[in-house]
Amino acid sequence: MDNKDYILNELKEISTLVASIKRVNVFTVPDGYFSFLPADILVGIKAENGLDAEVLSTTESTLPTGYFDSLAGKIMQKINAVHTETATEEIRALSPMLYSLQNENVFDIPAGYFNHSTSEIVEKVRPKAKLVRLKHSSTFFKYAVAAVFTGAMAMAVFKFTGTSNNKILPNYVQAGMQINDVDGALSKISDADILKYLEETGTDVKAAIVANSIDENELPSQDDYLQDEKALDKYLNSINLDDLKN
Amino acid sequence: MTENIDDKELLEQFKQPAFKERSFTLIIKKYQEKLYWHIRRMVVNHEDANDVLQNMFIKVWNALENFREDSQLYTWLYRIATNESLSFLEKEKRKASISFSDVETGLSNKLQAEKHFDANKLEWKLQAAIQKLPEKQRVVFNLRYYDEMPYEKMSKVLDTSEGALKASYHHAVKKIEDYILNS
Repeated sequence: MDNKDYILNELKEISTLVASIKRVNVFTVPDGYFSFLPADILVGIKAENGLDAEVLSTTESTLPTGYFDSLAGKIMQKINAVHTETATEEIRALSPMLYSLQNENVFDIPAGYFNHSTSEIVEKVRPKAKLVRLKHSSTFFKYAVAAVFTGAMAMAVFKFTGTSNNKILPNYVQAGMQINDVDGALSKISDADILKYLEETGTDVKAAIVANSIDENELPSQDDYLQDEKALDKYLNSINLDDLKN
Repeated sequence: MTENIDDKELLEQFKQPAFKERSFTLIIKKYQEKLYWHIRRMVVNHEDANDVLQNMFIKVWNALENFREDSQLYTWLYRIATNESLSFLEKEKRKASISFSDVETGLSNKLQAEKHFDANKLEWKLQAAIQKLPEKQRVVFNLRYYDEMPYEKMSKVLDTSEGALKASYHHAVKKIEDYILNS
């Protein structure tokens, strides 16, 4: 009795049911798998050892010319190749189902989306006419300084040229020349006078009022401008300019 | 054709640098199918089997020069393949950090993912029953049932006594029978 029959009889003695089952190979293998397997294994061996094909068949005394010069680079290539494979191999090992779904994109995007998205984003981040954030009362201070400077310049010109005819100089210069306490004089100037002055000189009164009268911490931030192009409009609408005037 | 090449001759050629790669290729061709199917029946999935088989042959390449030929090449290769399969399954278990019973569920799922799987066919029920066996018992059953390996050789592959192997095979067959009858 040969081995095959012996094993079959042994099985029949333990279980006739199991012995009756056809001995069929239910697993399948990709076409040509065994034809390519030896070469694949040799590639794996070379990768593992960081060696080239010709090196496997040579002895130490007959190494290819320049072998050690290029060895480090080749090993790094293999290492990087292994690392590249690792993530894919990892997901395949962890979950064959997830591996098979890796490239399945279930989300739709509008046609031509990526053609336009760059320009849309650039448009959103481009700063619009933004409100200049100045320190509290910096505009007023600027105009006050400008007025004082103008007066001082006028006085200097007057003194330098020796012109003493008050009738030639503008009224405000004449008035400025009379002032000894500039700070005190400035504090007595009313808001109405300032407004009148600004309007006469073509200044955007609303912008000046907002810049003077609000807390810069309440202004929209840079991120707000980026996320909402209407940030400034919304903020201005929330401010009652009439209240600020008063 | 490659089956007719003597193992002793292949081992001799392997030790000569000029013929190392060629002889190793012949060894692979001679044993690849037997070893592949042995591994495949353990790990179920083709990709996993391919990985285990390739890792196994890389180890053989590194160790073959020192192979003492106390046992036959065929037995030695089977032992490495078995150990690599069991190590793979152990790694899978550790990766998932789950209990042994859940590893069986994972293998059952892989089985059901196989092409042409048909839970109603007896041969697929047999496979499902085999996957339910403890790992070492599964190895014994596969080596005896599919590879028709004599207990004497199996004893060298698994480093277990023939008596223990016979008992293990007997228990495995009974469990398979119960599974099929109750499924």
